[in-house]
Amino acid sequence: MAEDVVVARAGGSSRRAFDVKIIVGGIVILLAVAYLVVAALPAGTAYYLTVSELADMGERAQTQQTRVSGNVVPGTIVRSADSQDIRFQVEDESGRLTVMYSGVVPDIFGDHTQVVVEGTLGEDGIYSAEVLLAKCPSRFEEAVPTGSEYTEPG
Amino acid sequence: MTANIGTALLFIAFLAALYGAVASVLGARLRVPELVVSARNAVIAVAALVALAALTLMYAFVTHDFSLKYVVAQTTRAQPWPYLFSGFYGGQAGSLLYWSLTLALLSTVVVLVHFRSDRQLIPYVITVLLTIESFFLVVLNFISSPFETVFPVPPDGRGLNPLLQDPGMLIHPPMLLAGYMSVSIPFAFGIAALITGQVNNRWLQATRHWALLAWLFLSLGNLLGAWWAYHVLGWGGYWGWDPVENVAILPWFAMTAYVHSVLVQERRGMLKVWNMVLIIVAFNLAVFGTFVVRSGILASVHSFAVSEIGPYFFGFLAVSLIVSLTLLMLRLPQLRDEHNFDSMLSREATFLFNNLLLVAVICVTFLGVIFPLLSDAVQGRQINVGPPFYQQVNGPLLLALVALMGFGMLVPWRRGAARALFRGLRITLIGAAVITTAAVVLGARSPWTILSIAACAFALIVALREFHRTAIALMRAQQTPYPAALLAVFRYNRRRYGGYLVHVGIAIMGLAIIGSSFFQAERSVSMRPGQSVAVGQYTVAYQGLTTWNEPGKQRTIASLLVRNANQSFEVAPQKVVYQNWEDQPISEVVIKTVYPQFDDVYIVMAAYGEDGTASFHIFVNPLVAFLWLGGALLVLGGLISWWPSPVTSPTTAPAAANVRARRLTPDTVSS
Repeated sequence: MAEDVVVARAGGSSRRAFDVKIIVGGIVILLAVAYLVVAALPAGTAYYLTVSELADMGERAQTQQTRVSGNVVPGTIVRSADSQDIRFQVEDESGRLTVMYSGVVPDIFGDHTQVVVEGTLGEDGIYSAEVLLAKCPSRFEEAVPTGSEYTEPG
Repeated sequence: MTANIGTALLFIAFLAALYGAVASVLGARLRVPELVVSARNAVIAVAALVALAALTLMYAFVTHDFSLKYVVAQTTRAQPWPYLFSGFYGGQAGSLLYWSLTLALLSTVVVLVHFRSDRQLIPYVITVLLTIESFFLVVLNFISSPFETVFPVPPDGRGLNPLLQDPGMLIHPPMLLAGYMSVSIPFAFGIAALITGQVNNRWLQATRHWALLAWLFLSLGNLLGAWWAYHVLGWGGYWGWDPVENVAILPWFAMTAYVHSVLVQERRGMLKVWNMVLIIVAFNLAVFGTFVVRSGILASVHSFAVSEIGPYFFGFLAVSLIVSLTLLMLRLPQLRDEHNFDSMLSREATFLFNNLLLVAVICVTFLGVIFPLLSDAVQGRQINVGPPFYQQVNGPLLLALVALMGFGMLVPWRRGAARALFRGLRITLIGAAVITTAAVVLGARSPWTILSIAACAFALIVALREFHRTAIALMRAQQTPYPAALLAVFRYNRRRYGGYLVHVGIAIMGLAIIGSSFFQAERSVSMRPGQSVAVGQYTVAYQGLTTWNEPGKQRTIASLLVRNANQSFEVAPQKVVYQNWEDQPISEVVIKTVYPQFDDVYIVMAAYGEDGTASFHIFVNPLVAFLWLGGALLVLGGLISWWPSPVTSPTTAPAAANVRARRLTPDTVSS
């Protein structure tokens, strides 16, 4: 019995020593994750705005990454002949916005398509989109991943 | 007619599920075994009824019964027959039906296998499984039925979206959904253990194979999803940290943590609460996945239009979380660990840290997914977090996980001696250094890249050397040639070496991800026939366009000649316009893997004009082929690990026991 008590006590103390290490390890991971999250948040975030909210942002809209969603105004799509630049207007309840985009356009993009653009507002008031997501509005339910997602920087 | 039959089948299935869920728990409480037996029969009946309902829907598809709204939405008369099947789960109602079918079939296997062996747990397992099943049947019966009719009956259907008419789409969704559903089984056993208070290791042993099966399905589902995205979507990548991708990988991370931490409980009686928490989290993440996909609360490229079933899923999620966590709280006193950690240099400690890191990845990814909702609630404005966030936060965490994976294979259970650990490490470190140096010579410059390559190389070599050493030992003991011994390693300890093969796969995938994300070259360009462009080490010359008409679709094919220093080949990216989908031309991507560099030359035709001008998006993605190779090894390893062991007779055991006893003792208790 006495021996058991001794063993238990020894186990207890080594447990404490080790638990401290575990806790320290856990805290280190926690701090590292917190640091990574805080450091990465500004880079990865974009504000969801309506067209008028974007206009209200003023000059800040030229630096802050934003996301605007709306429908493509029919007849406004202009594709450049010798590059992949495309220009179109999107419309929501609050107004219209002219968007420039360069890159692969999703297969389902077209007049009336519901799109989400992500980017910044140019000085000329034209929105320069780095990301163009499209949803197909023509069906009740849809499983349509679009052609263009974020292309990872090389 | 078909509609009536289908609706009736689903309704009876719902009643049977409800009956079984109640009868089972009553039978256990009131000690009326007949009630539990009837509940078991209810499980089988539900499976049969739902299977009949699914066959009815299939029949409607095959006979082009356009009186059903769902058949109209998913198929046309011209659709090739395999895609009639993908129409089955192509929409919301059908995928719910597929889902409840999978769950019902898995539940049937559970009651058939475990009814005798787990008498105390099984009544509650049945109750949990049938409760989940009832929820799906409520939704199917009353909210989103695949047997809804349409009048007047249209002559032809709208058809499955052409993007989904792809072989990858035939197997990716069913695998992923089956993965979601099979998480229910270890969850049901865990909950049954909590309810009965039988919180010993029995529930873990009973569900070991189920957990691995769920992990396998989830792995396959995610890999096939990545493969499909890469081959069909045409944006040059395979993973975009889109919300829907994130919610698909979250349960995978949770199950990966779980299949490691259960080993610690089995062997050392530790981490009991942790394992319960993990399985509860994994199940709820699977439900959350459906909720996100189906509710339309997040802007995703996969966005299914806002549907009315979102709130029901949210309610189910809330109830399931509250009930399972309350049960866990009530049982906390019985879940005390039997042992303590002996040393940081022990396998259980590496498993614990592997778990902490995986949970960190889960939390970060989950935070990213719900960030728009969170910021909306706090700030009144939705803020989206994009791929850079995930890359910057998850990247280092996953890197640490890979390094830990290598380290974990080196340390023994309980307490490792540092000296013994480092003695065997020299060759491994030299090998990792050689690979890393080679990468630097080939152009790796940034510290992150170099560190990542070093971690993957280290883990890869550790895993390979584990195979090698055991094979040598077996070769000596059994007097077999080396290749046979290498295969015998799996027979020797299927679970462990299957797991190590998964580690080999992960390390190879890691190298592929590093290669394709840090060394990608890309260029968007518009060309007239005769022009050419340089991308990375390659020159791409555009030769011209041709147009083909086929039944149901029209193809426009560009002809391109790709050259590098020592070879040239022709490729032909296409745009296909499907009948009924004229506003949505589909790009057919060409991907050509160039050896020996293992570069993928990836070309999409973005647009073309009347005058023969066409614009292309051209990527050179190094090492992506290794992603699929690593993925295949991962699945193979998982399969080997999962494969039920033959019952080992005691007569053959001693022979193996003589083989370098310590190293080769199987670390599993065969059940």
